[in-house]
Amino acid sequence: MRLSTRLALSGAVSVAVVALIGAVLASTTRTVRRELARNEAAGEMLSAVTNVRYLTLEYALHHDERTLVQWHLTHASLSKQLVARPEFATGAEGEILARLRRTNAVVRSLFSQLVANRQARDTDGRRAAVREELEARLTGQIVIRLEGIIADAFTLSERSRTGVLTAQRRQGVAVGAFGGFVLLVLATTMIVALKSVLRPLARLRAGTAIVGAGDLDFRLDEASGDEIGDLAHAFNEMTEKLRGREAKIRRLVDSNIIGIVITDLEGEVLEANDAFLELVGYSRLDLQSGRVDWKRITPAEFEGADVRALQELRERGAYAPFEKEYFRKDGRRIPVMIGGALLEGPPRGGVAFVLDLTERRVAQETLARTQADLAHVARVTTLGALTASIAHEVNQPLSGIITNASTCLRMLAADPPNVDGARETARRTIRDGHRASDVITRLRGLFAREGVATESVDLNEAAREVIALSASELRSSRVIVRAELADDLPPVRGDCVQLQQVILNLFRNASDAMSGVDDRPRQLVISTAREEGDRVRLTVQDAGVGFEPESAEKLFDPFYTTKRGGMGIGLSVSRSIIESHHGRLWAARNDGPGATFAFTLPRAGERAASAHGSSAVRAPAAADAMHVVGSP
Amino acid sequence: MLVRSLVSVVDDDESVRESLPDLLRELGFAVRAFASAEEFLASDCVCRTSCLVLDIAMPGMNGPELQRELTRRRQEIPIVFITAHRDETVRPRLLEQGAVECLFKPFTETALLDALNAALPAR
Repeated sequence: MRLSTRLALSGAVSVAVVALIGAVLASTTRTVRRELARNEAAGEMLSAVTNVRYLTLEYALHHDERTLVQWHLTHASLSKQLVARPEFATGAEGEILARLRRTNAVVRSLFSQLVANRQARDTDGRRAAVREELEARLTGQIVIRLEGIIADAFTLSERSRTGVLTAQRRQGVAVGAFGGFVLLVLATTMIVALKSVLRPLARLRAGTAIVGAGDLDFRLDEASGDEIGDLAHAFNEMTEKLRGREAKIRRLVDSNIIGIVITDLEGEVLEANDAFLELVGYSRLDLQSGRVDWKRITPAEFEGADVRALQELRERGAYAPFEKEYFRKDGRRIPVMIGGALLEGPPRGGVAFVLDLTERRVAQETLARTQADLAHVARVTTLGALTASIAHEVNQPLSGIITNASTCLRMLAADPPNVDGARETARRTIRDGHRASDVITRLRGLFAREGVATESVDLNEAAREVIALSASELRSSRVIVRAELADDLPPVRGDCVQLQQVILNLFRNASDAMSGVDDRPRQLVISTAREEGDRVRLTVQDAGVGFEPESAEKLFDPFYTTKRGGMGIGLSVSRSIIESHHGRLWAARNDGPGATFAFTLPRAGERAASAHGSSAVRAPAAADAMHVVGSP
Repeated sequence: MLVRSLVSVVDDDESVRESLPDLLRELGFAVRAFASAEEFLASDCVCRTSCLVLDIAMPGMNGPELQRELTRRRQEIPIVFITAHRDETVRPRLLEQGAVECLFKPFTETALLDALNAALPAR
């Protein structure tokens, strides 16, 4: 039964019982009062009748006038008492009262005769004796009657006394019952409170502590069906919801789809899921013994990015995902994407989400390779088209040569030989031979660069394109590119594709020069700047192996190379491209490790008129040159 | 006197129009040379030609177009195509469309003779 019902019910019962007891008490009190009144009335009656008897005897002895008056007064009082008595109006008492009234009337009548007999005093002796006799008898009669009245009054008095006693007993019982009930109610309330409220509350408190400590499987008994049961049910529901939420978060953390790391605000690893540990190749034991040290697993070149991310985390509550690498326990590097958010404390910390980019990186590299292959195919196709066109140009005169020579032979072999015809065909053979030679000369003219296409080139834009084009390749070589491109760089005039080939070549050289560098960041800095004398400079600086001072100029000789598998063409071609743009390309050693290559070009407007030519024909040749530069 | 088979040469390249007719005459054919397909169609040689030596790529109507035009006119002249573009995929297509042979320039005298022999079996 519900607590509220129980309380309401017990309240109602208490009220009913109290009312009942109150009624009983009131009733017994009234009874007692009535019985007491009756007892008093009986007492008064007894007193009056005793007085009457005394006065009767007194009068009979002394015949005193005063006594007579007293008798009448007293008797009147008695008669009044006997007449108006509602207390004794019922049952046996009524009969007794009626009898008393009758006896009283008789007493009065007898006493009147006695008085009359006395007052009719005779001097005659005999008659006097008779009167004496009568007087004595009357007196006796009166006394007997009065005795009867006394007895009856006693009876009434006795009855009322019994009534008082009974009423008092009832009252005692009622009071006792009331006290007992109050005790019972107190005891019941205590038991109910103890059983239904305090104990379940204690269990609830213990449960809260258990759930708070993390045991979300704990459930309270909710079978009682009352408010405590409701509370237990609500508690269990809350715990269930908590468990659901906790399970979701757990699922998220343990899903092993993504690495999750919880750190403090300094980046120290406090907690990590299996996915992350697997990613970096450490065990949970390593984590617990503090061996998964953020700084130790982060390569030097990414420390700056980490510091920036932590600062962003503290200032803005989250940091944008960025790409970095980790050292695995086995020393291998692994590319990841990492993003994170602030965890409000206390203590405050950060949660980082780490995504393994290995597969994506492989896919990117595959894509880049495919693109390179495609580009190669495109170049080959263009080259094929060019070759076909050359072949056509050459085949025409060749065809003439062979046909003429055949004709010539036949004319000479005729009988008689057609010498004139043979001479003519031989002449034509020579002419076609020259034609073929002319074709070759023309073709060489096509390839020979007499000038460059004249277009306005923004070196910053050209550099950005090259950075974008080679980003994947540079990343796979773990080269960090820093671009310091000058604002308001004036444009230069030239062939953008050729200039980009030069920049690309310098990038490749820089990347190759740093391929063996592991003790410092493989940083490549590309910068542009305005030079004195209306020139524009582009510089590519690396942190690679550098070069010996004496080989500074040899670097640009054709077929001079320091690289295994290098052809020694790139810098030579690059220099000829820059020089054909009226610029200068040179190399310098860095103060620290590595080398710097730079070229300057006149800004647009200077010597613009010197360039001319058909870019349509040169396009394949340009692609071809790119191919040469790109060769390792 | 033996009536020589007439071989018509249609090629926009002048050196071919100079050299090839001489060789064909040495081989014993009567020869007429035309600089374009239109010129050939306009001539009186269409009905008399026993074999057509036809360049593929020409300005105006090209070789295969002339072939189709002749088919349309029901002029069943055996055709030997000649071309300076060594495109191996062209040859089977032309043969399929009824050409006797397709020779890539420069071709030998023997190859030319074989093609003409194939074109003129009754000679």
